[in-house]
Amino acid sequence: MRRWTREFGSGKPAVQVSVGAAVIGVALVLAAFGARLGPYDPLRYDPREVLTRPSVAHLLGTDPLGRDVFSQIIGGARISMVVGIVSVLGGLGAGTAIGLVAGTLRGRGADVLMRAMDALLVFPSLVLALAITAFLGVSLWNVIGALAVTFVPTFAILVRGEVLSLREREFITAAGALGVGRLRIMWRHLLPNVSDVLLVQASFGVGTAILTEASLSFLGLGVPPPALSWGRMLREGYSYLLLAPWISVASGAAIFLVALAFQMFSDGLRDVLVRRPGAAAR
Amino acid sequence: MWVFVLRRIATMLFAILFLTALIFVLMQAVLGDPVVLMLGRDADPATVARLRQDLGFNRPTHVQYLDWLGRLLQGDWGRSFRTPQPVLEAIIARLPVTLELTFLSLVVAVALGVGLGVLAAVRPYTRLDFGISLLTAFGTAMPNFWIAILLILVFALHLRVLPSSGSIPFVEDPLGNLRAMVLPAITLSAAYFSNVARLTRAKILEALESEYVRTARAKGVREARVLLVHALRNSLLPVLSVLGVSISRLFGGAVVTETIFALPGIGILLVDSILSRDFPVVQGVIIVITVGVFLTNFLVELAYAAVDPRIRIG
Amino acid sequence: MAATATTHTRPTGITVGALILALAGVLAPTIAGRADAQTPVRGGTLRIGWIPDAKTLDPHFSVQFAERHVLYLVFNTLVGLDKSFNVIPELARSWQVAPDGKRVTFQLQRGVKFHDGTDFTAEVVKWNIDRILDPATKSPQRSQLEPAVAAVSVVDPYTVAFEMKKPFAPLLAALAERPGFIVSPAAVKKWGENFGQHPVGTGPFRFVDFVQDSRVTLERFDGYWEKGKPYFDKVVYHVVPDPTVRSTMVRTGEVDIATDVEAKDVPLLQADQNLRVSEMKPPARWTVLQWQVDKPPFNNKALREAIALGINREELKQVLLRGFGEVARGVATPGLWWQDPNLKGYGYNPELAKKKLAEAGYPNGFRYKFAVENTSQWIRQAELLQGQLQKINVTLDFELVNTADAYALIVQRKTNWTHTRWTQRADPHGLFYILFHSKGFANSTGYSNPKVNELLDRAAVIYEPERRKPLYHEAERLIVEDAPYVFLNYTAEFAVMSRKVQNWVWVPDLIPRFRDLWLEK
Repeated sequence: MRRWTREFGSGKPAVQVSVGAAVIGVALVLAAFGARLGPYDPLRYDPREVLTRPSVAHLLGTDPLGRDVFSQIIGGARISMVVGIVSVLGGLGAGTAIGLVAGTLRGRGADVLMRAMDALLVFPSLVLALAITAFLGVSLWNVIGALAVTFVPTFAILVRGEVLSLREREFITAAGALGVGRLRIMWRHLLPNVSDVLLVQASFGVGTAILTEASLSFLGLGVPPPALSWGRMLREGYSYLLLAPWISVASGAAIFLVALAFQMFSDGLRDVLVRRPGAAAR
Repeated sequence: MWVFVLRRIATMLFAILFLTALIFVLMQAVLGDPVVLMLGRDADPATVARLRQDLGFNRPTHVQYLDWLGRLLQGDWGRSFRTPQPVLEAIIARLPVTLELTFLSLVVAVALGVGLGVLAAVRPYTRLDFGISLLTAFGTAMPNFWIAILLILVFALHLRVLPSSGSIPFVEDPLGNLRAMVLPAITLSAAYFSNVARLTRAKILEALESEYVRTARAKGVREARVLLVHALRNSLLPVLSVLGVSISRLFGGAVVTETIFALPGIGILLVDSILSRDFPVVQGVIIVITVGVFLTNFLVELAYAAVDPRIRIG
Repeated sequence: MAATATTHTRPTGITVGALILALAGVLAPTIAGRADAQTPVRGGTLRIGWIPDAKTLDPHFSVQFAERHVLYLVFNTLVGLDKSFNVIPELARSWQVAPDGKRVTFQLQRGVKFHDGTDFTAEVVKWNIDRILDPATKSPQRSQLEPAVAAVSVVDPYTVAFEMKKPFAPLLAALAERPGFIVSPAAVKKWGENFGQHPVGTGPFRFVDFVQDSRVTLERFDGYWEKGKPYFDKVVYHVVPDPTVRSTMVRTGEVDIATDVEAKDVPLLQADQNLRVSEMKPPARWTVLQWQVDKPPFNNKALREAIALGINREELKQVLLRGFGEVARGVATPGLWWQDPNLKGYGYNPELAKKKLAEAGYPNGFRYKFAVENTSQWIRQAELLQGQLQKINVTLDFELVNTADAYALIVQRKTNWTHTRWTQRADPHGLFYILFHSKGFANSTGYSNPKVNELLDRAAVIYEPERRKPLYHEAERLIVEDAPYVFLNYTAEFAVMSRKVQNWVWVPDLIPRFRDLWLEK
């Protein structure tokens, strides 16, 4: 124990990455096979089993409609992982594109684009996501879209910064001199160079996205039913805190573990790949 | 210096224009105007039509936006659609609560964060360090409202030592006001003290390895002094910049915190106005938040320059 | 059209308060489980755990429920309501309806003053009604008066007459609700658009302050016209949005009373010796499913019947309301004078439902979008309905809508199939006409039945309840049969209070009348 504590507490990158990756792996397996791994159909309600305590039959008790909480947690992994990963990929895609374009082209248009990114970054991302889902309506895709938008400026600014610093470096200038097209320069040379930073930022983002979805759910604007989301279960558990604490404990723990796993994974990865401890500023 | 200030102001104005236009378009995109919402279930269609006409909702979206902008430039922030309080009055009435909440959270975040960070750095790779990193993990990976729920459960419902929700104006009852702010401030600061603690720890460890600390130690400077004066001072700079960056996230967190604890701040006002598409209020709050964030970042930059002579503004 | 003149005159020497007290005394055993026939104690502060969303305290612009919790303390209405929706005197001592039903004359209380010192007179009543009727005011309350009131005339300083376009029985009930609140004309002129933040009325409590989303403070109005009232020195409303936190604050002693408590929390609260939980009995609010019956797919009556038969209302009640409340049968809730005790409503019959579904042309099942209001309670109900209807092969695809927008979407007919709820109005005309008459402004289902229209039109111009009753019974039968709405539950409502709080009475409009309460020492 003591040794493990030392290693873990010291934040040894390899340990962090492997512990993080292990938890993420479990979550991914649950997400892939989803509800089939649980003991019950997570949507099957039973009016005679309403709010029963955790027991052998129901490991984590039941919810207000008599549904099995354990099965719901397992079933909810899919939505939480999809929301986290897809929204980050969306933000990553759009942000990278904007950053590459703005960094490579420069000029007035690129400038306006980056000012818009600054503005989005200034605005609290939760409020932005909230406004988008409130105005466009709550649905799985709108929630993912809203979260993706909040990631765009971070990635755009990151990529643009890397692009600007890289374009001064020799091999890029050399490629330009050889007459390779701009787009190809971006694609072939710049992207691989920023991918490490992006990977770190993206894995951190997935954790953030899962947490933000929970906050949106709390405000009633998260992933809507009948899809199972941990965030919504936690919100639901909040109203039943005194009557059925197991609902919120289970869903809260699920969110916490996965979000923490992504943070550790990202932290460790950064130390391994980027080796810039100063970049911890977040 | 002046060029720098002017550039900042220009950026801020651009941000305000961009954000208000974006939100305005979004707001009317799917559901249209809020007239039915404003009049409720008892209003007849004639009254609905008349109100729609009077508020100018029949006009194209861009005309409505430009109209709002024109009035704003003349100093008219408009009136809330719902209350109908003047927007500026509504915001000013709620600003103290949010400012107090964010200020107290910052204080908690810095005090707790730096404290824990130093502690962890002094005894690195021990159980204490591990415990602190576990605590900071809770701070960053727990949903913020879940922390609030636990705090309410323990301190308000079981121990009954602190109120579970609501707020009391400071002028009426300073002690009561602070008591009501304890749980919200802890909730809101959770994610930030963790960031600050982790950063402080990393920076101090880095500094303790550095050349000048080794020199200082070699010269026989006492360990406490090494830590406080040399290591800590140099570690605080990045902490300062993190605070500047996270101020907007702090505002975002305030939205949830105010909702849970029923604090009448601008976070609740914003959410409420967004949900009921109270356009003038939403726009007003966006302006205030944007200005607030820019102002904070500006102050942080000034402070940064004051602390670190290598950085010059201009 | 042979309306006979009806007169209501207050028995001399007995105040409205005394009447209500007497009623409360009779009811106390059933309401609170013990009788509290003591004399009211004066003094103290009432701290209320208040529901959120109050925006304005100007009754003529009031939309939100929370606002009405305050309005009944700051203002008086022209006439009042008792716990069975009988109209009783308030600012009007008595009234007469002319034989042709087109003129209603009110005799007013004398010596009534507003909190700003101005007098309450017939001129004031006229000014108030004119304010609501003026289209430029854009009062949401206009719809309740405008169809019938042509003008208000001052007969003498303490007599006022409503000149009607047609006989209109619902007038009195309307004057007991928001259109009947009397505000101070002087204060409206002084504050203009800000009157909603600085309300001035004749009520037992004077307005002190209103911090949006936080609290309202009121204090005793010493010049109140009903002798001996009010009992409290001060009343403070604390906004507590979450129902569980709200009821818990009564347990922790942070507030004295909280309303709109959720059924799920009731057993826990009932177990607390220091608390009293009051259930609204009989229940007075209903939840329904609604759809647009004038276009596909729900213009298919067999389909509507199939779904109505496929819902297990008893199970909804047991699971969602923890057994409180009642299974809904029709438009009128039990205990109202216009309720039809013989109305059956739809029962649960999955076999017949499946047959009807096949008959409707969906032998392989039916699937459609269902708009769900985005709150925990509505979602829970929708999820249970989804599970139940799945058994007859009907699938609901959820589409979540903001609570704030839900009604706008319904009334603008942007949602086809959804659920909603309504609270009873003090007159049957209130809900029947606006929801089910083809000209009703809240008729969002496209329901149009000439027979129903005719019955509702006839019932509206008769002043005697006994003669109106059969007409509403018949209309209700037709409506339930045609199923523009599928009635689900009459939902239970709860208030929880400290045992010290005395004199709590429910009115079926579900607005708490805090002004009559007092605190045991």
